[in-house]
Amino acid sequence: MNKLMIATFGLIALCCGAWGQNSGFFSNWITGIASSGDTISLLSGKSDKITNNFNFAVSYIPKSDSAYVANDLNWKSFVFPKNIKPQSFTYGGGYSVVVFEFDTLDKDRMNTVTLIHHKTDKTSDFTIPWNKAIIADSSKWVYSTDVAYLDNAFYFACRAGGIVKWDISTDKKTALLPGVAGEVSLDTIKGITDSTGWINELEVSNNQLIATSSSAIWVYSPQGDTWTEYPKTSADPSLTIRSFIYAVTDPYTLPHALYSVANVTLPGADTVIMMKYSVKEAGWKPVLDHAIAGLTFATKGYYYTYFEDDSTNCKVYRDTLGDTAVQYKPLPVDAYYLPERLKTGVENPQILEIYFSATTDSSGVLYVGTTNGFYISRNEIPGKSSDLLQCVKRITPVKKGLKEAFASPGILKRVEDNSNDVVRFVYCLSKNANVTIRIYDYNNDLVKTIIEKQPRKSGTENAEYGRSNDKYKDVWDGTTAGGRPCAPGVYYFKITTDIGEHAFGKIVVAK
Amino acid sequence: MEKLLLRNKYIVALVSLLLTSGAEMLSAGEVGGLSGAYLRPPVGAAALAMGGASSASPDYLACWWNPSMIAPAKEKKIEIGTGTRSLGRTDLYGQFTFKVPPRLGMGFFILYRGDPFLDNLYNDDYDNPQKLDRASYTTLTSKIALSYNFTKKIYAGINIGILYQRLPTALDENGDWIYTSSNGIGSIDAAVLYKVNERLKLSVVARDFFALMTWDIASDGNYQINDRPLPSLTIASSYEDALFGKPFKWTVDLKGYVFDNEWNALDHKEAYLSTGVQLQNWEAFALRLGIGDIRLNGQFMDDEYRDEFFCKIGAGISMDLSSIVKGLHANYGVSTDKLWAGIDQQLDFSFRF
Repeated sequence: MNKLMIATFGLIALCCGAWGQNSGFFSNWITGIASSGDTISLLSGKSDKITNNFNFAVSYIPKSDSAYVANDLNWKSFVFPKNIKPQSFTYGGGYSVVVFEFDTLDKDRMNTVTLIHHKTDKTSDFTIPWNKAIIADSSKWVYSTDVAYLDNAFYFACRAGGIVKWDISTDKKTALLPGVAGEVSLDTIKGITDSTGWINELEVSNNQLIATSSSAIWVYSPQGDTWTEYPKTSADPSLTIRSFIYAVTDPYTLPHALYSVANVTLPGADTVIMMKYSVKEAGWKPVLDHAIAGLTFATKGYYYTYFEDDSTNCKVYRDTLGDTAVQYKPLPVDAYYLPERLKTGVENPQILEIYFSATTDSSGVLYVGTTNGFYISRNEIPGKSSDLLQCVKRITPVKKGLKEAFASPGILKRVEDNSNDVVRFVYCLSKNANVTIRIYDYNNDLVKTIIEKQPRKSGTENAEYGRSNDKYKDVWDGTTAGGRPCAPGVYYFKITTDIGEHAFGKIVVAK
Repeated sequence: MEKLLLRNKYIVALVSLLLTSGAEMLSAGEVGGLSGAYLRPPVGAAALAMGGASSASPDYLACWWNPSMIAPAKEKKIEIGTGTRSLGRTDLYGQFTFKVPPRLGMGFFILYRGDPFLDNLYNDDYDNPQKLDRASYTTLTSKIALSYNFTKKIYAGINIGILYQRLPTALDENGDWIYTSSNGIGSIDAAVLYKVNERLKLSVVARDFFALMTWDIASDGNYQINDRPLPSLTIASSYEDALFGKPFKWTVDLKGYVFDNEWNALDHKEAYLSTGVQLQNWEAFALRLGIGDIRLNGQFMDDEYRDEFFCKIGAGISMDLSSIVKGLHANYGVSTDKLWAGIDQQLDFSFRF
């Protein structure tokens, strides 16, 4: 990226007001894992109910270095308004690129905001309105839905039906149209409104760009400037393909088979399944009848996947079907509940992203992004591994001796009385002690005893992440001792111990 | 003192009854967390100093404490005051009362109560919480009171209240707090006072009946939630005599909560006892002492009751500043809170003309 570009982006960033400013906010929701060369790039992000912001951060870790576990990943954090949410994420050439969906009140007028951050950049960040920096068009269908990196260029999938190629070494922006050889001008993709031609997903695999529209999958090879189309042709008579969701090839096993996840109609039901393209029969065949939320291929035909209806389970399958067999309900060769592979077994994380990087012909490193941090299995042997998943997460320390005690969040919103929202009490004792936590109202009348004389460990001795509170028991759901929802107002909590340490704090219960 | 207790035998008997047989029906507390908590702390330095036992003979702020006591006053009164309480709670209040001869009295009262520096709030990221800028909690309560002097011994009063509350809910895109508010008109306080003799007064005060606040949840007002402050009933007495040759006053308030804010009987009724004394030590100087909010819930032997038996202990002074401005009184009260989180203080001025 040349200096002119940086200056341009910096100017645009200023125009964007508060967006993207580094505030130090950080979340352990790991929503994106991308890899290129010897670097893994991570994206974390979570919307905050109180600040109405979307807090996200990017981090870079070398594949070969294990020091990042101790170094807390060195996150670079950003804050966007909550109506801007990351839609896709990739890494390449030292840059992390996040495409955000800018959800305006008018649903037809969505825009795209793109963040580009270089791993060596410690001081600045850039928020780039898509329609100014990447493509000079603000017509309503020209917004990006996905991004991928290949050969020193970023490719942005456009709802308008084309792909914008941005060569970062020359800053040249051109367009690709599926099935059309050669690069065309950006104006070419302007105004295409046929939804069947919208490019919804982009993947890079085996040095090829895989573009998914609802009606077809296109594989583009930059070396030969060739496109190959894979239409909605089913090779199984019982299967009717309605629309493609995304596609990917197996990068480790020859021949590199093409897989897709699609909305299909099976006898008696509409469902989402995973399919493989049969070259011999020139059509798609089912390999797994389950709504897949995410998958990553591993060595020797194994693939790790998690499902939309159960994102705490990761299941490992192996495709040994060859080119012709049909399979709907294979048994996984391995299935595990993530907490079972953790040291603590306490957390219950939801999987948000999963990525396998091979290190040998039969093993590799498994990276799992969850709602509770980043997990790594360094010696993952697909189908056989019992290596522990090591968790990397950032927990902000709390001053010990109850010098800092607070409720998280400080505002409990009870729009509905059956709200599941809770506040957790965060504190750190200087010594092991029996702890009592009580809630009082504005008149200091007792509302509820949360815990009474319960043993809690000191923050410096054995307590998890240097905090003494029990994340699951030191919790208030906003009800009275009698189980009634509390009235809106300001409430106070009092933490007392048998070692003389005590603390007070405030909670707002709002409708 | 024995003579004093005997003369105040009605209240002594009532309190004894509640402390013994009545205690069995009053079990675990339930008032905490129900609507209208901000309406329960006493208003005024004198009441604070006397444990909140001011319902039968408030020296001032009669609109709040006992609207029936407006009519007996011969002069117009203006009262203003302010106070801070533990945990950042703040009061600001004022009242104007006047007599409409021969038997009617009227008054206007306003109270700001809240936390203008609501701090130590965090966002909703448990792992990496961020401390947020200060917000504020605001309530406004105003009352319009009417009082009528039926006989020389019986007075009655009523006031209609307007209630307003405002709470922070979230931050906007500029980092400024977004607030939600509620308001309601029609909260009723009613009081009857019986002057047994020149020394003893008995009174019954019903507070916050029919109070209803409505929170607008959706910005277009299409989604609303009702919030009904808890009504209470207070039986109060005031006894005035001489002690060690000085004017002396002893007050008792027994406040009970029987129904919830939708008129369903509470599973666990609850009562609070408050009592205070005032000694006019010099002509222009009075001392006040009190103990307040002793929860009578029948679980005296439970650990939780003992742990939470943090009644309020108050003290204060009153000074007649007529030598400076005719009719001017100053009052200062200080009290512990029930959590031992700090002290409550109030300072106010009463001007009669």
